[in-house]
Amino acid sequence: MLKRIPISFLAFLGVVVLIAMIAAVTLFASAIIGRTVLDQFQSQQLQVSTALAQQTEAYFSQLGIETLRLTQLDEIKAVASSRFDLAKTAIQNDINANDRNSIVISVTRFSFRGEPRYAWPTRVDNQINEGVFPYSLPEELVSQTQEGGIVEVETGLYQVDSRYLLIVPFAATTGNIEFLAYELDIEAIFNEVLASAINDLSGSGQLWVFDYQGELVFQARAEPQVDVDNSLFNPITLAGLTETVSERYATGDDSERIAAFAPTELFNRQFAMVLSRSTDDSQEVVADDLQIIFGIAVAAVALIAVLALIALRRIVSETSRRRSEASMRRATRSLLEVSRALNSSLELQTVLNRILVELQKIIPYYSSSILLLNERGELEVASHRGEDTAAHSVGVFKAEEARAAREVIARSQPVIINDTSKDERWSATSGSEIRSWIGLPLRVFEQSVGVLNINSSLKTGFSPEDIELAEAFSDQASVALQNARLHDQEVTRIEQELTVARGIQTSLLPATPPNIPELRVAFNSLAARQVSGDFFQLIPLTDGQWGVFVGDVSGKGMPAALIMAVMTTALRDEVIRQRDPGKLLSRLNERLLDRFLQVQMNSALLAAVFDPATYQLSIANAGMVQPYWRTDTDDEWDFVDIGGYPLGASQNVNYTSKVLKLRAGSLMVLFSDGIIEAENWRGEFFGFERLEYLLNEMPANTSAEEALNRILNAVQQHIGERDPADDMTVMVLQTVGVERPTEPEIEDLPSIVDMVRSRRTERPVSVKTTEEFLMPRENVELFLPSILGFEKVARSAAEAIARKMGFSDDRIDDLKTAVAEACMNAIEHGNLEDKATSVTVLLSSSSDHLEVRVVDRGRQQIPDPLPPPGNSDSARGWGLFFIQSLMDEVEIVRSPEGNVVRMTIFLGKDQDDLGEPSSDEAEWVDKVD
Amino acid sequence: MASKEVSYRLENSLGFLDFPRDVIAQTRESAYAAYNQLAVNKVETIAMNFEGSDYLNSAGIGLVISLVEDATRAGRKVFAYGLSSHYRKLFSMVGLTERLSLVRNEEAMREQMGTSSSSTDSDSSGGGGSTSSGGSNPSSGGNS
Repeated sequence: MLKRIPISFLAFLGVVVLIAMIAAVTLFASAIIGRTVLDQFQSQQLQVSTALAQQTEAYFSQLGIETLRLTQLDEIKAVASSRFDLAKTAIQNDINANDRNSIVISVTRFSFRGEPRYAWPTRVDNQINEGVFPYSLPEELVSQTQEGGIVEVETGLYQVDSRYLLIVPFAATTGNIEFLAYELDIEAIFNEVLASAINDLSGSGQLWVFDYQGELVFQARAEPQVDVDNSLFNPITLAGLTETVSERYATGDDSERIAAFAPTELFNRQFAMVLSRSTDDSQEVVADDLQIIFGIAVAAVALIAVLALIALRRIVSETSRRRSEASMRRATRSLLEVSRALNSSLELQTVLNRILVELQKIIPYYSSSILLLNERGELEVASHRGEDTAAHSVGVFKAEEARAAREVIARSQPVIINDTSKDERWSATSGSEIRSWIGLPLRVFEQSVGVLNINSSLKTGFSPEDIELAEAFSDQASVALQNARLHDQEVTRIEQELTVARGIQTSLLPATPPNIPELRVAFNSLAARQVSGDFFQLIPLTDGQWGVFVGDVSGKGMPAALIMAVMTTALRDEVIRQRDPGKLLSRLNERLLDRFLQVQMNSALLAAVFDPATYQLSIANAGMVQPYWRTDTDDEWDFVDIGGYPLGASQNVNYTSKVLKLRAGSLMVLFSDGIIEAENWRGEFFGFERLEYLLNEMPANTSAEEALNRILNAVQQHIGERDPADDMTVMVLQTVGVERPTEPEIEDLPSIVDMVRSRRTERPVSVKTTEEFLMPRENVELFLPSILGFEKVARSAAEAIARKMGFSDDRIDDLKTAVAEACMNAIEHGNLEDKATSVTVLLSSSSDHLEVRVVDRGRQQIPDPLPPPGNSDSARGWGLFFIQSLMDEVEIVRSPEGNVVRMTIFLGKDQDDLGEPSSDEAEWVDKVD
Repeated sequence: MASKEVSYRLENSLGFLDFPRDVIAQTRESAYAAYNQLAVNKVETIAMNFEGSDYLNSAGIGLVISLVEDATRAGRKVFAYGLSSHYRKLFSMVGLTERLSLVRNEEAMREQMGTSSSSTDSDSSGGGGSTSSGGSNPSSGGNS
C-alpha cells in the first residue's frame, strides 16, 4: 500500500508538518520573547521620557542664561525712561539673535513695584502706555522687592492666568530689584523641544506634558486617547513624583498601554513628561520580528524541503537507476551463464532439457516446455519441466491444435496471454493451473522451428522485464538449439559416412569362416573406431588352395576403409595371377605404391597360401607382426621368422616366401600389432611375453575357436574397461587331418550357362566353351551400401566398361537398366536395405562378353519360380523381367549365403527380337543422357 | 538443383505432367498428387513430359503404368514424349504403348492431337495416332 503513495506527497506532508511545528515553536517563542520585549519596551519608554525631561530642562536652562545675559545690559538696567527705547531695541535684538520669536510672546520690564515700564513688542508696549496691560506680576514677588529691594529673588517660571511667565529679577541702576518678564508660548516651546520625539512617535504613541497643578500643558497628538479629566492621571500623584516611573493601564478599547512618567523642574516649577504607548506596539515589533523570523524559517524550511525533495528524487532516481543497472547486470550475468550452460552440450535432448533448467533460474515459472515442429508439421513436446501433470510432458499437437503456439511460429514473434481464461487462442486442458503464458519462437537459421512455452499460474504473471528477459533467453536458446541441430546433423552425416564405410569394410571381410575340410579358421577383428584399419581375407584359389591374408592399413576411419577396399580389390585381382606370397606382395607393392605415396599411407600385409593337398603353407610378410605357430600338439610355440617393409613404404621391394610344412593339428596365430600393443591402465603393453605365455599354456587339443577366445579374453582382461587404442585382429588357423575330398571337375563350370539357356529357350543364345569362360578377364569389383540410389554407381561402372569394350549405345542402355535393376533387387530384397550389409558387384570383361555378378546377403531369397511381372497393386516387379529380357544370359543362384544374379551380354549381338520398332526409332534423334 | 517431384500444368482440357530427372519409387507421391490435380480439373488429355528425365527404373515405369491405367479408365487420352529410344523400348515391352501415344516432343503431340481429334473421336485408347506431317510419330501406331 505504501508503495502506491507518491514520494512527492510524502515530502509535501513532511514540509507541512515541519512548518506547523515551526509555527508552534514560533508562537511559544513569541510568548516568551513578547514578555521580555514588553519589559524592554517599558524600559525604553522610561529612557525616552527621561531624556525628554532632561532635554526640556536644558532648553529652559539655556533660555534662562539668555534672559540673564539680557538683564545685564545697561539699557535694560537703566530706569530712565529716555533709555527705554534702547532697552526695547536691545530686547528686540536679543530675541532675534537667539531666534526666540516663536516662543516669546512678549518681554516686559517691571519696576520693583511691579509696574510695567515698557515692553516688547510694540503692541504690548502700547498696552502699557494705554494702561491696558493684561497681567500683573505675582504678588509674592512684588511684595519682596518693595520691602527693601534687596531680597534675592531667583528667576522663576510662573503661571499668571493662562500665561506662563519666565520672570528674571535683576538689579537696576537704582539698586532696586526689578524684573524682566518673558511671556512664553509654552506649547510652542514644547513643540520645539520635543519636535524630534514627536516625529518619532509611531502607532499609538502619545506625549504629554503636565504641570504639577494637573494641567495639561502640552500634548503631541490632537486627540488624546486618555481622558485626563477622568483622572486617569492623578495630579496629586504627579505632584509627589520625583523620579521617572511607568505605569500600565487599560484603555476603553481593551488595549493596554504603558505610560512613562519623567518629572522635570523648570526653574521653580514642576512638570511631568508623560510618554504613553500601547503595549501592542511592542507586540507588533515582536510580531514583525517573529513574522520575519517565521517567514525566514518557513522559507528556509521550504528551501530545505525543496532541496531535500530534489536530493530525495535524485537519490530515488539514482537508487532506481542503480537497481535497474544491477538488475540488468544480473540479467546479463544470468544470460551469460545461461549461454555458457546451454552451449556446454551439443547433444540435442540435453540442450533442450537444459534450456528449461536454466530458464527457471532467471524467470521463475509454474511450468515450461519446448514444442518442436516435426516433419508432419505437428508440434511435438520435446522437453517439459514444472508442476504440470505428467500428461503435459508428452504429446503431439496437430495442425489445428495449439493455436497460440502456432501463432508464435507463424509470426516468429513472442505472443503473450495474460489471462488464458479469456483468450480464445488458449484451449486449456482440464484442471490446468496455467493462467498466463508467454510463447517464444525458437529459430534455426531464421526459421521458426519450435516454441518455448513459459507458463504461470497467476494472471498477468509476467512483468515487462520478464518478457524482455525471456526474449533474450529465447535467442540464446535458439543459438544453442541451432548448434545442437548442426551437431546432430554433423554427427548423423559422419555416422552415415561411417555406416557406409563400415558397410564397405564389412562387405570386404569374410562374415563367416569358409568351410575348408583341412583347415579350420577362426577370426575376429575389433575396431578401435567404427571403421577399422585391420582387415583379413580368405580367398579360394584354384586347385583347392586358399589364400590367407591379414593386413593393417595405416590410419583408421574412412580413409583406412577406402584403402582397405583398394587393397582387397587389388589382392583379389593379383592373387589370381600370382600365387606365390612373396611375389604377390612384390606385385601389390609395385601396383599400389603410387597411390599409397599419394595419400601418404601404407599397409602391412601378411600373405599365406595353404595347399590342402600337401598341408604346406607358403607365407610372406610385409610389415605385419610375425605369426606364431606350432606344428603339432606336442611342439612348442614359435614365431615364424619372416618379415619385410609394409606395402607402399618403399619402391622395388622384393618379398620372399617361406614354406612351412604343417601337420594335422598344427596351429598358427596371425594377428595385428594392436594385440601386442594393447595397453592396460598403467600404460603397459600386452606384449609378446604375455602372448607366448598364453600360447604355451594352451592345452594340446585347443581348437582354433578356443585359441581365438583365449587370446581375445586375455587381451580384454589386460586393457580392462579402456577402449582399445588400436584395431585388434586375430586369426587362428588349425589344420585338420581329413580325407582329401575329390577335386571338382573343371568341366562342371559351363553348366551354369546351360541352365540359363534352358530358362531362356525362347531366345537364341550363343554357347560358350569352358575355355572361353576361363579366358583372362579384367575384373572390377564394387561394394555398394544397401541404400537405394547406389545402384547408379554400378550402372555407371557397367556403362564405362561396356563402352570401353565397344558395345553399342543400345546395348549399353540395356546393360545399365539390367545392372541397376539387379542391384535394386539386391539392396531392397536380398539385403532388406540393411545398411550394415553391402551388395557386391563383380564386372568381368573378356574379349567378347561382359559378365556382371550381383551378390547380396540373401536376407530374402529370390522367389522360385519367378513371379509374373507387374502383378502387384503398385505395378512393381518388372525388374527381373527387364533383366531377363535385356540380357543375353541370365543365371540366378539362390543360397542362404546370398543370391547371385549373373548377367552376360555379348559383343556383336543385338537384341533385335524384342519387338522394338527399330525402323521408326531410327527416325528419332535421341537426347544425350 | 533439379526437382525430384512431378509437377503439373493446365492448358484448358490438356494437362501436363512434368516428370523429374529420376523417375523412381520415391516419385510416386508427387506424381499421384499432380495427377489428382489434373483429374480434379477434368482434363481430357494428359501429356507426360519426360524431357527432363534420364533415369526410369522399374518402379518408375510401374508408376507410369498405374497412372496410364487410371487415366485410360477415366476416358482420358495420354501422350508421352521426351523419352529416349531405350525407354521407349521398355514402355513397349511392358505394354504401355498400347495405352498411350508415344511422340517425340510436345510439338508432335499437338500436331497429333489436331489430327486425332479431326480424324476420330472414338479412339479413346490413344493408340490410334496416325503419323501426321513428316512421319514424326514413331511408335504408337506400329506397336499397338
